[in-house]
Amino acid sequence: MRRKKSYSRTILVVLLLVAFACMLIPTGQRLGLRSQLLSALRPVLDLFPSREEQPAVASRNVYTLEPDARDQRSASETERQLQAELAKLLDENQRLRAHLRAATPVRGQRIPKGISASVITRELLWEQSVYGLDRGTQDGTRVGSGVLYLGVAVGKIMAAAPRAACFAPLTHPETRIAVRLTICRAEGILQGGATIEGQPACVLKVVAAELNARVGEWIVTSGLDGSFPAGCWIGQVASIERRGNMEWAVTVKPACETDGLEAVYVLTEPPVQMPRPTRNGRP
Amino acid sequence: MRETLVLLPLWLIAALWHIQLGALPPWLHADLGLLMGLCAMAFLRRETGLIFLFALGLQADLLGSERLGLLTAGYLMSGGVLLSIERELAPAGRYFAALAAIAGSVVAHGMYFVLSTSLSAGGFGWSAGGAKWLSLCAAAAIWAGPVAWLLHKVWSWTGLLSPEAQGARASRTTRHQHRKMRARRA
Repeated sequence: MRRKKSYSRTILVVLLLVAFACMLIPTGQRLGLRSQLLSALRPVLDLFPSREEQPAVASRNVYTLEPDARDQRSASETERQLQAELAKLLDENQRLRAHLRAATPVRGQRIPKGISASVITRELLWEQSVYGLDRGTQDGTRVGSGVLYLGVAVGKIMAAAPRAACFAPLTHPETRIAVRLTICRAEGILQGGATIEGQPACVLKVVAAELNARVGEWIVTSGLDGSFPAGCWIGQVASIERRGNMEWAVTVKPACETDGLEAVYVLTEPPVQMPRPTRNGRP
Repeated sequence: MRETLVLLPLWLIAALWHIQLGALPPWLHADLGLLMGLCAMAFLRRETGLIFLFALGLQADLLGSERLGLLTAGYLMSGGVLLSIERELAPAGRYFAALAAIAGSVVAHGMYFVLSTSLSAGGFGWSAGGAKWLSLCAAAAIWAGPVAWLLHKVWSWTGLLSPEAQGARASRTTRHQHRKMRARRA
C-alpha cells in the first residue's frame, strides 16, 4: 500500500516538472501546437452548425465599394469601410505625388488575393487575444499573412496548420507590422501591448531626429514587411512621445475592434521575392 | 486499454466544450476539463487520474492560456492537494468530489490569475482577471455536481472505478437497502 502511494507521488512530481518545462516553450511554438490541435479537431467542429450567418463582407473583395441593394451592413461598418478607402486613397495620393516629384512611372494598386475565414475560437478560458481560424495551409494561409476586415488591417497569422490557423490582433504584444503615417510619411514598426485608458492599443516606434506627426493622423501599412500591401488602414495616432534623441513612441488606436469578429479576410498571396544583388553577374 | 477508450472521448468532449465556449453565457463558462480531472482523481485509480488530469491540463493550456504549462501546473497542484485531503475525509464520495472540483477550480485558476498577472503586463488586468476568476468559480459551482454525478455513473458502468470508489458505492447501496427495509418494517 505504501509503495503504491509513493509511486503516485512520483508520477505527480514528474508531471509537475514536465508542466514547468512546458513553460519554456516560446509563444510561436505554442500557437503552432494550438493550430495543430484545432486542425485535428476541425472534422468534429464542422459537425456543429454555425450559430449565426457569417457576414458577407469578408467574402467580398475588400477594396470594392460599389453599392449593393442586398447589403445589410450597419452605418458604422459602411463608415469604417469608407474611412479605410479614404485612408488608402490619401496614402496613394501622397505616394503618387512623391512618384511625380521623382519623375518615375506610376504603378497601380494591386488587389491582393485572399480567402475568407471564420473565427472558430475566441476568448477561451484565459486566452483572449489570439483567435483561431478555420483556414489553414491547405487553403493557402501561411505564417505572417495579413488579416483584413472591411479593408482594415486587423492582425497577422501567427501559426498555421493544415486545416486551421491562429491570428493575433494588432494589439497582441507579439504582432509586428511595418507601417507609415499618411501625412508626414514617417515609417516605423507597429507592435501591440500598449493601452489607452485601459483599452488595448498599439505603439509605433519611429527612429528619426524629428517627427511631424499629429494626433489623429491616419496610419496605413507600408507594405515593406510582405504581410500586407501598402495602404491598408491600421488606425490613428492617439499620442506622441519622444524617447531619446532619435526614438519616438506613437500610441496608435486600432481602427477596428476585434472583439466581435466572426469572419476575416486572410491574404494568401506570397510576398514579392526581391532579386538579390549579384556580384560579377553571378547570383 | 479500457481507460484509454473511456477517457479519450471525455478528453475530446472537454476540448470541444472549450472551443464552443462562446455559445454559452459567461457565468456558465466552467473549465470542464478541470472538473473532469478532479472527479477522475476522486473516482479512478490515482495514477490514471493524475495522467488524465495532466492531459486535460495540457489541452486547456494549449487552447486557453497565455503561458503553456502554467495552467497544467495549477491543475496538478490543486489535484494533488485535494486528493490527499479527499482520500482522508470521504473516500470517493460524490458530494465530496463535486466540492473538491469547485475548490480545485478556485485554487488552479486563482493560481493562474495571480501568477500570469504578476509575470506579464499584458493580457487580463487585475480587475478583469478577478472578474474572470470569479465567473469561472461560479460556473464550476453550477457544473460540478452534475459532472460528478454523470462521471460516476459512466465510470461505474464502464468498470473504471477505483477499488475504494467501488467499496464506497457498495456500502452506499447496502445502506440504502437497509434504510428501505427499515422503512418497510415500520
